[in-house]
Parts: sequence; C-alpha cells; structure tokens
Amino acid sequence: MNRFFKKLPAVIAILLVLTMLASGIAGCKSGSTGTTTSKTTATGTATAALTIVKGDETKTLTMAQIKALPVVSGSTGDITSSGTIEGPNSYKGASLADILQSVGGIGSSDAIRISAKDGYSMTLSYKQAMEGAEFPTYDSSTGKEAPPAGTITVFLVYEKDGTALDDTIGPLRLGIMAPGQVTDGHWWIKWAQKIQVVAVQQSFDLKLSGAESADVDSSTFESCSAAGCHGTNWTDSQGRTWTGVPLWYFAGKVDDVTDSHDGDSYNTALADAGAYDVQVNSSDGTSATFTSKQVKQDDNLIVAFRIGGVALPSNQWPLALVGSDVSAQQQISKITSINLIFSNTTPTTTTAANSTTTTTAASTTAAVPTILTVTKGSSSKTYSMADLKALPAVSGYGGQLGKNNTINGPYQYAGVALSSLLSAVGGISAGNSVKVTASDGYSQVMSYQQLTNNSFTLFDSSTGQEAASADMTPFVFIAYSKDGAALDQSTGPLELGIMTCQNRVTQGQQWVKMVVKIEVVSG
Amino acid sequence: MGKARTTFKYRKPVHTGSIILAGCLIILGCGGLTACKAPSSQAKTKLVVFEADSLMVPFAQIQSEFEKANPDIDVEIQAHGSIQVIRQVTELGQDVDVVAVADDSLIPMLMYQTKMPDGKPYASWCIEPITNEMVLAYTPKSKYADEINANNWYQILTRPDVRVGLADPRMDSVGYRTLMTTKLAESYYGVKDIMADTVGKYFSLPINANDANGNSAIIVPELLEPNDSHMVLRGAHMELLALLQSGDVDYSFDYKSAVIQDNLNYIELPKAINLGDDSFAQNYQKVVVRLDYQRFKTVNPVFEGIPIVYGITIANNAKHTEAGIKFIQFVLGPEGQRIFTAASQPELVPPICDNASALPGGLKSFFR
Repeated sequence: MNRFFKKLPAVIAILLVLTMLASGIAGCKSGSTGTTTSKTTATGTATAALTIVKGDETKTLTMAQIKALPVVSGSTGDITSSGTIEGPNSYKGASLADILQSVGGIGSSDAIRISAKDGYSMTLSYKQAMEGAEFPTYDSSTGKEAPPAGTITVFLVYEKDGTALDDTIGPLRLGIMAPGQVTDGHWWIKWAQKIQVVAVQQSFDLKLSGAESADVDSSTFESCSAAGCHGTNWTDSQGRTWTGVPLWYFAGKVDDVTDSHDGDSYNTALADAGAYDVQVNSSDGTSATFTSKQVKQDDNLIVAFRIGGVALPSNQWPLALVGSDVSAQQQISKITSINLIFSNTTPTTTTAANSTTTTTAASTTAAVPTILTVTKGSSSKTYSMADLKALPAVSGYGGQLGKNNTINGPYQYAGVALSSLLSAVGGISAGNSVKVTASDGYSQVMSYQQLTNNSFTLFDSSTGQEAASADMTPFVFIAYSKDGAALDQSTGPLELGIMTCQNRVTQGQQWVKMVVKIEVVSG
Repeated sequence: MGKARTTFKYRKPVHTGSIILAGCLIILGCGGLTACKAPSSQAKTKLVVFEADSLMVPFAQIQSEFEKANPDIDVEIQAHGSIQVIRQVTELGQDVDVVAVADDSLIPMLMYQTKMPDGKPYASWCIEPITNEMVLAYTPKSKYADEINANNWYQILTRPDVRVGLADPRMDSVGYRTLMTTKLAESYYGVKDIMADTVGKYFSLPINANDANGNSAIIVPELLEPNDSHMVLRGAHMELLALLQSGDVDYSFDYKSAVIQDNLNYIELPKAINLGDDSFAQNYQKVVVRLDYQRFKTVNPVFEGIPIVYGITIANNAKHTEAGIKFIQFVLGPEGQRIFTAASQPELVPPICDNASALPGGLKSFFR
C-alpha cells in the first residue's frame, strides 16, 4: 500500500500530462483570436472551378484541368491601398493566357472581365491580360514603386505556400506574378470564378423626339450599325472611314406613332409632304437642320459613332454628322439629340402627272407655321422656326437668378440676337421701347437705354452674388435651343433671355418664356 | 538491504513524480500550453476599427492616445478604400466594431440598405465628424512649379511635357472626385473641356461627360488604359503622393489633409469646385460620376457631387459596442479634435448625425 501511494504522484502527473496534451492540441487549433476558420481543400472532383464566356461560347474548367496547364510559379504578393504588404508568398497557378486558349484566345480589341462569387469584378485590357503590361510593381520590403524585376504574368492562383487555397480566398484567385515584387491588391481577385471576354465601349444615349419620343442607347446604336442591319460606312476626303447609321432611320423611329421594326417604319408620305424639319443637336449648342425631303431615305446623311473602327475622339464623342450630303456648316459633332419639328397642317394627297385617274392632281406643300411676329408700326415680319434658324445665329451661355437666390443654369443656348430681329423692321430709336409678349398673354417691356447700353445686373453663377462681368457684354437674344435641344413646352419654342459668359447669370424676371410677339412701341 | 536511492540535496527526498506533478500544476495554473502569456492581455477588449486610407495618420495618433487612456482596450486598425471598408462588414463577414469612411453617403447607401441575417440593417446612424477638400498637389520639382497658380492650373496641366497623376476613379474616391472638381472648373472659369483636357482624354477609351441642362454626367469606362505619357494612373491616391515626391509625377489632385501630411505643395482650389464647402453643395450637385460597369454587386456605380464629409458608425453586429462608444467619444472629444486639427483635418464642431435618435446613449450628448 505504501508503495502505491509513493507512486501515486507519478501516476497523477502522467494523467495530467496526457490531459494537457489533449487540451493543448485543441487550444492550438482555436488560437488566440477566438475565430474559427473552416478549411476546405480541393477534392479533385469534376465540378467546374472556372467558367469562361466568349460570345456565345461558354466553357468550364475543373481544377484538374487548370492544374494540367503549364504552371506559373514564383514568389510574389500584393500591396493594399493603405500600403500594407501581403507577401511575398510562394504561389502556383495557371496563366490567364493559357486559360483563354480554351476558348480560342482573344483579340487585341477584347478585354477580360473577371468576376468573383461575391459579385466583385474587374476588367483587364488585352495588354494587361496577355502581356502583363500596365501593372505597377513595388518593392516587397519597402512598398516603394520600382521597375519590374522580371516578366509579369496574370495568373489564376490555386496554391499558396504549398497549400491549396481555402475558401476564405479560393479555390481560385486572380493574381499578378511579379517575381520578388508585389502589385496592386485591387487586381488580386479572391474567389475568382468567371472570366468573360468582352468588347468594351462607352455608353451614350441619343434622344429622339417627334411624333413621339425615344432614346437610343449605345448598345442599340451599335446593333443598328451592324452590317446587314442599318449600318453604313463613308470615307471622307482624308481617307478616314466613318461608321454609323443614316439619319433617316432615326427620323423614321419618331415620325409617327407606329414604330414597327418589322417592315417599313419610315413614313415616306410625311417626308414627301415636307411635314417636318429634322434638327440634329450638339451638346455645344450648335445644330444642323434639314427638311424632311432632304433627309428622306438619304444614305449620305450619316450619324457616325466610329472613325477608323474606334469610338470618336473626345471632342466629337459620342456622335458626328458626316456624309457626302452634309455641308461644312452642317458637320456637327457631340450629337445628343435629334428632333423632328412638325408643321401643323396635314399633307394633301398628290397623284402623279401621268396617272390614269381623272382626279386633278395638285401638289401642295405644308404651310410652315409662324412662331414669331415682329412689328414696328405698319412694318411686320413673321418667322417660322426655319426662318429664324436661317438668320445669323448666336450661341453662348445664359442663366437665371430666381427668388431666394436660386440659380437656374447656366445653360448653353443658341438663337437669334434681338437686335437682328429689330433691324428687320427698321430698328429702334430713343423714345421707343420693346414689348415682348408670350403665348399665355404675359408681356414685358424693355427700354431703349437697357437694350442699347446692355445694362443688365450680373450675378455669379455659383454663389448668386452680384458680380462684375467677366469677358463679354451681355445682350438680349431669342433662344430656340438649350443645351443642344429644342426648348420644351414649358419655355418654348422661343424664349427671350440674356446671353452672358459661362460664370454669370441674370435676373430671372427679365427672361420671357413662350415668346410669340415682339413690338417696337413708343414710350 | 533495500535498493540504492538517489537523494537530493533537500532534507526530504522529493520524488520525480512529485516534481512532474508540481510542474503540471504550475502549467495548468497558467491556463494551458498555449496561454502562458501575460495575464493582463487576456483581460483587454479588442476593438476592431476599419478606416479609410486618408484617416491613417490621425487615427494612428488616436489609437495610441486612446489605448493609454483606456488600458483595458486594445485597438486593432485596418485601412482600406472606403467602399472596401464597408464591404468587409456587409459582404465579407468580418468582425468589425467601428467603421470610418471618407464618404458619409456610403454608410446609408451600403449599411442601412444591406440587412444582416436577422433582418436588421448593418448600421442605423452615421456621425459626420470631419470634412476635407480637393487640392492640386505638386512639389518644387514639378514642371512649371514657379508659374502655376489658382488661375492657370488648368492650362499648366494640359502642357504636353507635364505628367498628371490620377487615382483610378474605378477604385479610389479621390479619382472620381478629381473628375468632379475638374468638371466643375469648366463653369467656374468659363472654359470648356477642362476635365477632358487635363485628365479625361488620355485614355484609349476617354472619360467623357454627357452635358445637359447645366448638369454633367461623367462616364468612366469599364477599361481605363492610359494612351499618353501625360497620364499616370494608379489604383490608390497614396501611390501618387509617393510619385510626386520622387518626381515621377508633376501634379495630382488629392485630399488637402493627405497632401499636408506628406509635406507637399498645393494649389488651393475655389470653394465652388473643391467639394469642401457645404454652402456650395447645390453647385457640386451639378456633376455625377457614373462607372460604366458594376464593380461591386451591392454598390450602385453612380457617385454624386456632394461635399466631402467623413462618416463613422458602430456596426449593429459589433462585438464590442461599449468599447466602440468610448472610441467615438474620444474621437469627438477634445483629444480627437486636437489630433485632427494637427493632422490638418479640423473636425466639425459640433458634429452632425443623420439619425441621432438611433445613437447609443453614450453618444447622444454630442447632439443635444
């Protein structure tokens, strides 16, 4: 018995050691952070690890297939936006270029969109994806930018430091192999699961209005411009090839309310009758106007979105009016909208001169409506929109300071100087005033002194504070276009305003919407 | 005669087993093989703070002083881009207590709208403690450094021998705010195409703008490839500050605080365009930046022109809410104000909160 008790401490000690070892192993696993990470390993099953989409083709690759590709391996890492360096670590994977071979490779105009399971995606250019170009490299110790130390390869990582990626970042991750260096962490896409070959272009909206309204977005425009659809090319005198869609197709979309893409959507009867003008508007305030007869099925009036096969340069983007039937003055770019401006009479039926019918044919042209009357005594002139646009145009900025210091604008306007309209009826002299009347009956009188001295109070367009004029003398004009589009019903078709420089506005009460009449009166 | 017995020096023999037993008891008293650390570290609360990159300098100081004042709290800070900060909480399931971002609008956009598994939003309030503004950074080595000023910078930046840095607007808020500032400059100076001519046109797919009715929608293509040595594009604005220092970039737009912290020269921009003055908010609204693709599943790729205001909140699933409250109290209090002022990021006093009724009690006093 004594012998037993003498050995008891040793027995207890052994039991305790065994117990501690058991709990210690479990404690090591949980770690001091208190978080538990579930780890999964690649099982080598036949499940798809990566999906590649190119056009109509979709291909999936299993992990085994990816690992069967030539191996990209080396020591590299990434650096976060805050300068924290992860790595370098030893990575293994397959190059993006090799993976893309499974769908026949890509062309130089393609881009590669990589998506992750959490919805994150980034797009690489051809040069980035295939040549490893345009990735800044950083010293892996200091984080300072440094020239590349070796060949850079974009790859799909499946192994890090000899271990398959777990599901906290894998099973696949897009990485940049820059041996011995690190690269921008934005490109290191965890949970990469899909690669799409995409043709990247910028989006725009072309606004159409007429008998109805429509928007043509860039994707639709590109579809329309496809060969076999409505696309056309034109080579200018400098040998540049422009690609686009003839103007008349856009007129056909809004010339009436029956817009069917099946069959003939274009209303030739309206066009023959001269029922409308087609106004093509630029965001810089300029516009080009054609009659419906000029536009009718003319394939040499082209709304172009590409030159030399690529998007227009920024000073013309997104669209330009080109073609052999476009005059130099009409070659506008930065097109944002196309408006069909209708007269208010309906065309009468015509019959050809050699018709066998007994009905007497009489060709008619639709009356062009008068939208502005300018009078001085017995002298009177009336103007249609086309008449006004045939006058020398003014373009520039204008904006209004309203109640409570609210600022409306500035906007880019095009129109006619009031002085031009007054000159046509003999001008004004001391003792005259000019009365401007709107379609709703509102009227305003401007004095001779105000108009000849151009004395208008100016305000800073940002703050609304009264300010001195900066570069130009303000003047009164009749606007028919605002930011490249016809005025809407609440202000147009004509508005009297004061044109100033871009950072100035004037008192809103001096502007008159829906102007229909200008009279030179005494007093 | 018995067996020979090893005796020790001790008056009473100590058996080996007893020694081992004693040793085990000592080890067990420490709490196990893996836990023989200083006992005080186990008692500390680990407060996890995720911050925007541009808060690194002041928050490092706040971390140091806060921990001294609160020895029972260990502050662990990670810095990311603002959207990534929030994604760590809402999409990647990280345990984060305090979120601090450089764009206060992101917290309502991403944390109020996104629900936790229990149906509650990831956050319910946002305090706006500090602001910032855009400036144009440069060094004495920059080309035309002795000529540039607030009235001609947009002309200097178009000179063909000048290298301009741009933080990638797809990745960094400084990038899209640069586009906003240069676009707003067009109406301010009465000069067209400043945005395009200084930064936008130097890419194979240019950064263009749709201008209509006095407003501009700036469209950032999915792919941004510089096609001119004039343009230096980097994923993070901090990288451009380093390139300014090295002379590899002549000019770059950035937050004023970051530029001052890096001891760089800068051009102070007009308030109407620098996104730093709330009284010009209506003017800032005239621009938006739209990414031509969706980089994040949950983030609408449209950024509005608004004054630069930072946001801070405690996540509703925070593990250490009380410690988070103490931290924000410190940030908003006199120590935080001192630290931010020294870092050239003066605080809003009083701060603003969008939903003060939802604040925890310990923070409500700042908004009475």
